[in-house]
Amino acid sequence: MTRVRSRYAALLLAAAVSVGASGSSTSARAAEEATPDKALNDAKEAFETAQTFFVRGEYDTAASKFLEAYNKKPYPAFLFNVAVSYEKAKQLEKAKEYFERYLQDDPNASDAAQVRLRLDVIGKLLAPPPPPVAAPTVAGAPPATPGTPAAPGAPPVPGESAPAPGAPTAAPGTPAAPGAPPPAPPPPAPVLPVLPDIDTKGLVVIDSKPQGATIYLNDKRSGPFGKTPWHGSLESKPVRLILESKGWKAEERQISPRSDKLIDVYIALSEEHYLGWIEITSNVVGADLFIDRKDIGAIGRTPFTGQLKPGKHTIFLERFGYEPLQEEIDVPAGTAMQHNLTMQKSQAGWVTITGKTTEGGRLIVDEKFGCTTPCRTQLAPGKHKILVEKKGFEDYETTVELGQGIETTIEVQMSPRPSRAHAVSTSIVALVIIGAGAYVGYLSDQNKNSLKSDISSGQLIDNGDSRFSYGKVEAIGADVLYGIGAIVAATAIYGFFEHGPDSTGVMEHRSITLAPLFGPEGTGLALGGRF
Amino acid sequence: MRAPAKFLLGAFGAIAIGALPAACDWREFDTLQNQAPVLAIDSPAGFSSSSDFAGILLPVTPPMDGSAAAWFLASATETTGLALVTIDAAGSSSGLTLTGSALDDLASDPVTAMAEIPGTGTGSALLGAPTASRLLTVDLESQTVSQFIPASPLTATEPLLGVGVAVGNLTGGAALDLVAASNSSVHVFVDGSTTDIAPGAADLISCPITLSGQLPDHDKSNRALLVGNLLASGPAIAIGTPGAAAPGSVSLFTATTSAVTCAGVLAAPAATDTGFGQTLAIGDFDGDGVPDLLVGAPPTRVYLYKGPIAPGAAPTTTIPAPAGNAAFGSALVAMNLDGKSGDEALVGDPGATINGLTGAGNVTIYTGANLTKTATMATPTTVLTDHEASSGQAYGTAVGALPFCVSAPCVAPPRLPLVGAPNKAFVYFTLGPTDPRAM
Repeated sequence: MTRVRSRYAALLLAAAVSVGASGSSTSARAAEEATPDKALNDAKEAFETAQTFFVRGEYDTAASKFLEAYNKKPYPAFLFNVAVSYEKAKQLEKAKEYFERYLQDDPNASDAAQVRLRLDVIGKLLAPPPPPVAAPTVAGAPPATPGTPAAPGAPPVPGESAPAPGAPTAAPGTPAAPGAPPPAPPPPAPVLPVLPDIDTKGLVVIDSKPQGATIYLNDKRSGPFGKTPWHGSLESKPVRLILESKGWKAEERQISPRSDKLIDVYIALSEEHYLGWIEITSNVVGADLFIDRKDIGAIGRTPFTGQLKPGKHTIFLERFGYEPLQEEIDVPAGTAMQHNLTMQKSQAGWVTITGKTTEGGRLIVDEKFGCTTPCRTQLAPGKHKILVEKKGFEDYETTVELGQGIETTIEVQMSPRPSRAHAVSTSIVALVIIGAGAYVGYLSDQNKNSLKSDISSGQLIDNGDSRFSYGKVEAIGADVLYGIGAIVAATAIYGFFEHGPDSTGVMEHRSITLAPLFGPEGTGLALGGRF
Repeated sequence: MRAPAKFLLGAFGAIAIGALPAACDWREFDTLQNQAPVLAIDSPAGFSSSSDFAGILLPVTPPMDGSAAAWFLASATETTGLALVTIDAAGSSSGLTLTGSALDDLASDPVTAMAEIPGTGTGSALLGAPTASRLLTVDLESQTVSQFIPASPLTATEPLLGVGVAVGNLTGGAALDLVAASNSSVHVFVDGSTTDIAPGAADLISCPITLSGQLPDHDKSNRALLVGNLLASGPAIAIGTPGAAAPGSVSLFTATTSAVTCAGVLAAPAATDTGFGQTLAIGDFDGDGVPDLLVGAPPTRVYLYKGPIAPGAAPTTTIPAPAGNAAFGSALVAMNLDGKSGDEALVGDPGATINGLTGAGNVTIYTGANLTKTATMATPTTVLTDHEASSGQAYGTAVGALPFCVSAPCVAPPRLPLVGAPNKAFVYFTLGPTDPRAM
């Protein structure tokens, strides 16, 4: 298998990338080239022919074509398809042979376990049946004719059952002698396993120029999938390929793998000397990475690799529990730069207010506005007075002792504050009553003064003068009104100070810690919480 | 706390502070009421009628034990009803409706004549129920009413026995003599015994005392009768006989243990004085130590006869009724109000119009040797009325001089004006130089 790597050939094949490569494209994609591997083309041609025969049910021919493809490009999937074709053709011996070769070629295949199970079943089907148990000898009853059972090597067709139990095993023409006692019933035949249905495999071949490019599926966040050249089977659903190689411009393609297709993706990466290559690592794995601007969101997480326009850039790293990091980097064109950034664990603590009823409230920390709840605010370690207030609800107050790297979450349940309308109306009633008392008291006072004046001036008023009784009743009435007014006023005052059930909060402390992390992409510190 | 709440709390506080001085002590009215210059007394519980309570009043010398500062009897004029009103030293009164078989026997006839029997120490009085022609006595301390039954039956020949009663020492005996008038005679129960003596026919011709049958019933329910040192020769009985159409007269009798003799007659000075003698009062108005006689001739005049009385003499002074008066002289009493020498005369006019209130009634006070002055007392008031007068109240139907004794033993207690109206009695504490109540 010789691969033509000439740039010319690549350009010629640029428009014919691969079967099934979606987004197949266009000549504008200079980096995209049809595979230069003739053997692969031949193999693909044979694969497609084989599939045609397979669909027609001409399994023997299909098997030979799959084998031809394998001979062109020794992809284990071809052997698998040969085995499947033979199995469909009821040539279990051959099927077994090619399944075994498949496992030899690709012992780590993702479906290796299933193939081994299938081989076990095939083995049982191919095994000769156990010798029949000797029946009690009966005079005149000829023994069963040997060789009447199915010949070895003629296994049951997949999907077909073994002879039914109780079916006569005697060869035709050997009926029981008349008058002879009926022969003993034969022992039941063993139940043979059934092979589940199976289909051929599709194949995806990914190659690039230069080889060794990192393959990502769908996006880079899920990490590298492999490196070119790569071949294998993918799930039958659209997937976006991302190829990236240091010093080369990254390329993306959309493909739709199928079980009856061979998809050949060959991408010639173009050298992009005007871009720089950066690798950003940090002591904190998974820190959000922003480049130049934060408003468009994080473009990745540490560790991160990618190309960047040459020039000065601002790198932001953020991770809860750590001080935000900002660093200016200079990206030279056509070079690879590695930046290992060290994030410092935050010296602060955090208070988080949650709870549905806090929606639209205010968090006051140490008598200063903190944030609009529900929210989180960062605070210096130490004791803090927390107040959550919301109009129409009772305040929630507490004190928290924050430690470094400690997040205190308070689930606050705000309690509605009783309406003050009743207190206001009661106050008005109290004022009216007290006012009435004052007026009646005034009348009483007038009577008293009038009586005093008359007495002192020698007016001959008698003790039955109506002013005595009126004044007395008015005085008592005024006092009663004062008393009632005072009671009502006290009720009103109580109403002003009355509050509903206290707002409550459930406090939870969480410690933000660092732990060493070792991964395939490097080492670092992982952020963890202790509850 | 929000601003409205602060405002309301502030308002409450201000009102509370402002209301503190305004907080009313109703007991002040009780104090003031006790300081009222006039004590108005209603009929006590169980009295026969609240509107016929004090038409006839009899002040009685207070008890010697000091259990009361003053007491007096009040009687209804239309039916049987007798109340004992007691006044304590502070000026508060309490009333008691007197009951008993003697009163029950009156069969609703009223007691219309009363006279104190002084000197008993417990307070007692002689009562006359003329409609029933009965005499009764009452002991105030024991609140017992008893029938006084003369030894000789008088009712068969003399209707209206008891229409006038008096007590005095006419015969010079150790005990006081009881005097009771009837429609046509007068009987003296010497030394308080049940045996009476009466004027002879000739004396009754000389001193006619028979009431005219044409007199209205009211004038025949109580006739003026008193005993005093009216004559130069000594004590005498004075009995008034108003006329229905003819002028009235006042007859004077002297008495011994065996006879009642006519001493003379005071004839009405004017032919129009039909009411002359309807009321009588004894007092020393000029302060000469000799009792003077005041004769009422309602509705127009009151006459003063200075003692010693000379039968047939003209009155010393004539007091005409003030304008607007309608029954001037219907009640008379003499008493020393101003503390100076000489008594004052209180003349009741229950028919007087006061501030447009017809029949509200009043009492006019006269002073001076000839009772010509009306404003020499400690207070400028010379005409007494009910402070809350009403039409037809008939204030001044009765007047009396109520001895008021703050502490025992009671020697020469001050006397307070006692004015009666059918529905109330009034005691005046401040008309004298000092208010005698214990404050």
